[in-house]
Amino acid sequence: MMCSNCGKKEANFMYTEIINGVKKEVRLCSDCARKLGYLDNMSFNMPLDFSNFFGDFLNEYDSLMPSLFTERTKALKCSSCGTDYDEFLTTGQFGCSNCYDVFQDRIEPLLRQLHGDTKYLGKKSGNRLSKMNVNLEKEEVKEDNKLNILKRNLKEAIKVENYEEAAKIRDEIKAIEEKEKGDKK
Amino acid sequence: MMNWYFQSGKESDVVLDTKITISRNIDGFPFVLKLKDRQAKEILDTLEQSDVIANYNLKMLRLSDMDELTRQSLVEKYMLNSKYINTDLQNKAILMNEDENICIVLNEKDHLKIQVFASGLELESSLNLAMEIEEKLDKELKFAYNNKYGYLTSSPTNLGTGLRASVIVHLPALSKTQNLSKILEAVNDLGMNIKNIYREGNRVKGNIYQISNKQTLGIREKDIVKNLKAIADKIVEQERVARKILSKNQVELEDELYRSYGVLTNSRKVTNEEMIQLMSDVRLGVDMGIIKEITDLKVNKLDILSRSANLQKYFGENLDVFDRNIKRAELIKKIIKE
Repeated sequence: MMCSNCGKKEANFMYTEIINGVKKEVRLCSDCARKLGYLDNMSFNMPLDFSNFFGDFLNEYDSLMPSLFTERTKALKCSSCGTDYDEFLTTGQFGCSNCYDVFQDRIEPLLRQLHGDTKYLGKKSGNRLSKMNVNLEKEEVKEDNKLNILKRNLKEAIKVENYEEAAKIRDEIKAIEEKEKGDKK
Repeated sequence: MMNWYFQSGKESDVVLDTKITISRNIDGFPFVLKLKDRQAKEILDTLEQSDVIANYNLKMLRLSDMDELTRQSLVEKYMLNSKYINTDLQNKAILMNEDENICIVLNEKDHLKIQVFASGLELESSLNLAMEIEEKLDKELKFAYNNKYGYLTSSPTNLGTGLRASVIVHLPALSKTQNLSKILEAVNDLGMNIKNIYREGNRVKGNIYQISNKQTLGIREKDIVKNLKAIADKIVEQERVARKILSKNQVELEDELYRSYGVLTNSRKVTNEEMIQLMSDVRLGVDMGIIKEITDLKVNKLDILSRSANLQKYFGENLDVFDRNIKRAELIKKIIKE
């Protein structure tokens, strides 16, 4: 995208301002950004502050929920380490393993935002990944797994309205499922 | 053996190095934020006596026993996070071997941050080594884990596999041919983090970028590494194409790169910023076989030793900015002569 000020250079600076509830996005090249004073009061090297990011994200989410729900979460507190919800919003960190149980319902949307998926697919505790052969070239996808992957891809394709791809995946899924049925008979 | 960062590895004309990080917490202890001093100490003591640690020849160095320069030099080698070296140093430590390719940080953000480094593109073997260490330590320590989310980390950003794989790439030709933003955008769209390593204000210096996975949950360990490998391969390919295009203007390119080499090797003082910029040209020249006066191993050595804290450690004295610039010029001459 080109700079919205000079229109000549590639925009590499995005600035969102909200004035009287009207959101405005400005895309500028770095030269114009400096000229217009957007860079003066902020460092370009600003590390992304995750704690604020969590706070903003979850506050936004909270505002969509019935107030009864938010009241209840505000009162949530980990019985094991004493971390409460506000503390998590400020630090972006939990205090102990038990926090994940206590705040489970609250962090689901955040986890989806961060990782796209909240289902754990990594190695099981005590299992050995190094013995599982991490050799990338020889990897085989199990049919059963493949089905799940296809189903996920289908959802993705529908989400981005890529119906051509979706139709293709749907046919593939059908083929595998029919093959499975055939096997059982 | 040589320290890993002085070596030269696979695809090292583009990929400078690989790092695998696994974050873990010990079951039954609160996370670092809520850890009591006595518990933090217990973790250090347990690991100091661990057989696994002994078998890998890892030695414990407590941050509180190091001088500031040493801590800073570890940050420059990407072993410690700069965020944690100025605050509370009590009961924080690293476990490191002589080659420095294995470095476990204790009580930083999580109880353990297992890091494995390698020169060049070495994702699979680095993951295997990191996992091997993790699995052996898991038997001794038992890591916090639940069936729903996998390995539990203090921040939800690392939850699940706790695995962060990263490569550092040098992309001068893509940058000189104005193709860099296209590549970086594509990498971003593929769900990877990109960070430029050196910047002054809003200017990117040195054309060096770190690419790492965003997702740690909902994905298998080997897929994290596989995806990153695929992207790294693609970037290597594109950068090499761009270098071919550049080399069509042989005289122009040689002139530009040799000018940088000339300034780097003849100056009496060199700032950190200049160093980073000039080194990008010199590295490109060496990797393309244009500059023959210096080897890639010496480039790696210069790259590490010229960083502010490492420079002072090398000369064994505390230096202010003015003296550092002079000593940096001395270092360059010395290493080229070696």
